[in-house]
Amino acid sequence: MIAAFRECSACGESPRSNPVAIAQAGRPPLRTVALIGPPNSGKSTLFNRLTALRQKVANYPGVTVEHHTGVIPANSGPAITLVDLPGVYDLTAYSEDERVASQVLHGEMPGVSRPDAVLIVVDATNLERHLSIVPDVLRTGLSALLILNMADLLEARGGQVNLVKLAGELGIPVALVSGTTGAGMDAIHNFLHAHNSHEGQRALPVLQSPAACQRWARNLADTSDYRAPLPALWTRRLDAVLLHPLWGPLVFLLVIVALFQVVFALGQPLSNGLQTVLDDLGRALFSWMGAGLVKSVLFDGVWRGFSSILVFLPQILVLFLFITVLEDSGYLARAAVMADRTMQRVGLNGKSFVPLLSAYACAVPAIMSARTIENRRDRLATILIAPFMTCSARLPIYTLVIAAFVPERALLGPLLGTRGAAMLGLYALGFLAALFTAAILKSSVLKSSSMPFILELPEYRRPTLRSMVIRSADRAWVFTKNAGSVILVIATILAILANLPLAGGAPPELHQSIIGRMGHLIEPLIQPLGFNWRVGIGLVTSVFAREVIVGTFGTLYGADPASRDLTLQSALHRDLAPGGAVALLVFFAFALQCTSTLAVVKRETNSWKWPAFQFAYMAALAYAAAFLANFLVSHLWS
Amino acid sequence: MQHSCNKENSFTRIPVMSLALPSFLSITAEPVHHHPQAARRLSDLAVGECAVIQELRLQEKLRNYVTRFGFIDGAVVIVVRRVPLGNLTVYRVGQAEVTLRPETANDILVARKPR
Repeated sequence: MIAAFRECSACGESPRSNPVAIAQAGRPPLRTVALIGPPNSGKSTLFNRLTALRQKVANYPGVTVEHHTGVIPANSGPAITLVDLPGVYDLTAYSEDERVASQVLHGEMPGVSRPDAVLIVVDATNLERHLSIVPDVLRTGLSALLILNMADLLEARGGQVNLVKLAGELGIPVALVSGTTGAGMDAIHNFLHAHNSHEGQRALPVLQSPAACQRWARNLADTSDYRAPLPALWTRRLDAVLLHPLWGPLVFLLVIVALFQVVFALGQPLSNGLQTVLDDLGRALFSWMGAGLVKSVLFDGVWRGFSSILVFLPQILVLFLFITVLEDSGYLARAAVMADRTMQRVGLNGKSFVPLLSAYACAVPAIMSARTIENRRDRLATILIAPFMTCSARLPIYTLVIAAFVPERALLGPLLGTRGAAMLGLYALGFLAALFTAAILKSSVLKSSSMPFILELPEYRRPTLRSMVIRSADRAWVFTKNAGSVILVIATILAILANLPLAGGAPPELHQSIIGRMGHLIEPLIQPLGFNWRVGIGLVTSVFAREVIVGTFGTLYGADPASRDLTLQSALHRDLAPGGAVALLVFFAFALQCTSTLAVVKRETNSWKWPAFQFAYMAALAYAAAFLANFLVSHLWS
Repeated sequence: MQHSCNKENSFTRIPVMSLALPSFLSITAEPVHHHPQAARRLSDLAVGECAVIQELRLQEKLRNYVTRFGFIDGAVVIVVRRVPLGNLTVYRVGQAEVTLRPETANDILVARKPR
């Protein structure tokens, strides 16, 4: 293999395109290079290897497709910016991804300069199919390097290809590379830094249909003495178990249980620890300030608000590590095909399963992971239903209300008690609401022409530490940046409102503040749900993050002489009728009290229309369901 | 490259695939002119069976989409397994394993030689 690669770099230095000669002729060095390739070609691994942590993520203007750029440092001369284009099979512009890729390569994307060259990545073990991307890309006229990725797998399974012949047929240099092991990367660096012209590039036939393109690719593979590798034995063996009629679903269940365990048994204590650290740090930072408006706003508002989001970071990191392992190993595709039937019943398909699974921890990363869904309407439906899944921010209020109102009794011996059952019921409620909403959306506004659901099952691979770390860090950063900036603004506004109007130069009691008055103001509106003005204030403060309501209750009952000496549970128990308590749980199961989610939905859909719709719909559903719950419980009780 | 069911046979050292695989004559990658009585739906094949695609009875847009996954006239398809908990089936086409729903596999006509 290595010998073959050397032959190839020799071909890159053939007389018709001598890199040294061209460089001396004053050809400007490369500044921007695009990376393109079909899905499952190992493009991201390669991108991560080339750019490491020097990456930036943004959206292309006007579309929801992500714009990943990274920097490849150079020993001498300017560094090269690498633009990672979305994974596409060709440039036919069926999907938004293909349109974006085509526009960038043609230099028609506003705000993005046309790349100087392009790296085409294809899977060497699936060459006959993946080569069909080449003609479309070469027709853009950019100078190109064809990278046959996954060289290690090709070799291990007895496949081979004549790189010299392939390069000769196409008239561009070809490199056999492994993004996983790093073998052959020199060829890419040679291309980038000792840049060839594309004078040798052959005129390729214009292929009218994808089928013609596939045939051309197959013939090209034949001409290049391509010997396809044997099927992956290990993948077959693992699939015999992981897609077994009995063991398959069992392992699937185990993986989901493990995901919860990881998030709650590992992530939760880390989050609690971080909370303590942030509280102490905040107190230390603001200790020099005298009590007053400024301190209230900065410490209770801004610092507490920001740290209330930051504490989710460990859980999100752990969750993303877990999902990255599932994804990179290839298991996620198997889970998606097993979940397809359930998703199909509500008009979606297996690809929506992954975001919904992550939404059990937090809707923000879940909504970001919906990017893998190609169908725009399916993706939108998934984004809109994800916040119904029981995220970790709902746990504080669930735990509090259940502990206050549900007496602990054993239901299934030591396995399940009444409180556990209540919690499970709330999880089920959220999931059912998500499915119900998906069914409505997919049969009305988001009905889509039924593109067939086709999923390629990638080979099982061992995830690399490198890719796990880079991707988790990337996601964690995006989460902190997006959620953090919104929370900062809203926390500041809420903190100011909670401390105004000043009474004799000092901040007022909470119930007399602007927020407190808002609580009183909405009391008539929420009375039918069994809520009083205290819950009203809690609903107002928790509009930006669900977990805030528990802290608000703490402040309110702590300030009231009648309930000052009670625990929060007993105070709540005395203050709220059972109907109101159940209604409160149901309200929180359905309502979208999370500005981070709204912000990320706005970012992902590129409009305020969808987050506004989502907020209104979920609020209406929460109100109706809470009303019904209060009505039923108060009538059953009396 | 010759695409034939015989050749694929050499891959079948795996227990699942060693179930009754019919032996086929070598068929090239060129479109196959089929006899009407030999055409079947891809969805009708049993696990372990192997056939050659003859026709995609799909609208152009859908056909182009399916084509990208390697489902073209003359391609050899093997039914690898059924996915549990649903109605998907895993097919091997070219070097890839791809799942299809039955309604998609219904519209793909294949030729299979009688045993």
